[in-house]
Amino acid sequence: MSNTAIEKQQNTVNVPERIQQSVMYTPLVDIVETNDAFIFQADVPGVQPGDIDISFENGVLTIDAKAHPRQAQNQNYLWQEYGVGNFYRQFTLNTPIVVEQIKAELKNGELRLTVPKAESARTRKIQIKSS
Amino acid sequence: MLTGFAPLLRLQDQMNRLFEDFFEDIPALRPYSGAYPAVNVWEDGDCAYLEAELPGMSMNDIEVLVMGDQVTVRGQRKIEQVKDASWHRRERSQGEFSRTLSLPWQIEADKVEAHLRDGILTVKLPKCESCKPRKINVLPA
Repeated sequence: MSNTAIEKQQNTVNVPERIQQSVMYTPLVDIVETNDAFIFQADVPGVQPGDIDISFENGVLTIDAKAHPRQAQNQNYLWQEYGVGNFYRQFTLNTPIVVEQIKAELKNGELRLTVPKAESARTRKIQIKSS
Repeated sequence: MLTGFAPLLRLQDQMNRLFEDFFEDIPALRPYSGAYPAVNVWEDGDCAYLEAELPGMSMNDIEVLVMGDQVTVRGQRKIEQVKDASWHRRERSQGEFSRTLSLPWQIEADKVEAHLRDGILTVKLPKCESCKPRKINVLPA
């Protein structure tokens, strides 16, 4: 009796959960590093400011942006060269950062993320004293 | 030495042409040429609509030109450079671009509207009056 109960439980765990059926696109990203911060610039055309989620967990920075469909799903095209869908990308950061001070700006479909480095990770210039 | 391959190469050539001819007739299936910007074009009875993804650009950076049955989107993308920084990754490109498309009908140039929002350019291209579908009443004989 108890055996069947366990089997059933396992079955439910093994069934993948389908939350949302949608196409994900990988945004193009530029990353630069200055003395104080990492700056991520990503192209997310069609994304409005309220529809973007930035999260940082266990050293992984995640960009999750929603682009709403702009045409009917069954639209016939004369030319169709790109698809419209959500943008998703993750980056692993090995440098300690200040999570509370991550700054995100979105303008004209271009995301700019400023991720400040922790004090310990900044380069410090040491003055050499002449004796 | 390579003469034995000639018939094979000819066959490859012919196959390529066959595919090109086939896709040429169906614009929606034409393989994407890689031209920038990528566009989606669709139509209703009165207008054609062109949409292109142009992130990071303002209306000052983009020009839309219409002549006859052709529409051109051209402009320049400038990517703001961060001072005193070292690159980790550089996937986006900058510079000038221009792309011209020919539609299957004449465009009413005076009534073209272009909007840019969240990095998406949308151009409404009305068909000229004489190109619109007209309903012909069948008169009794």
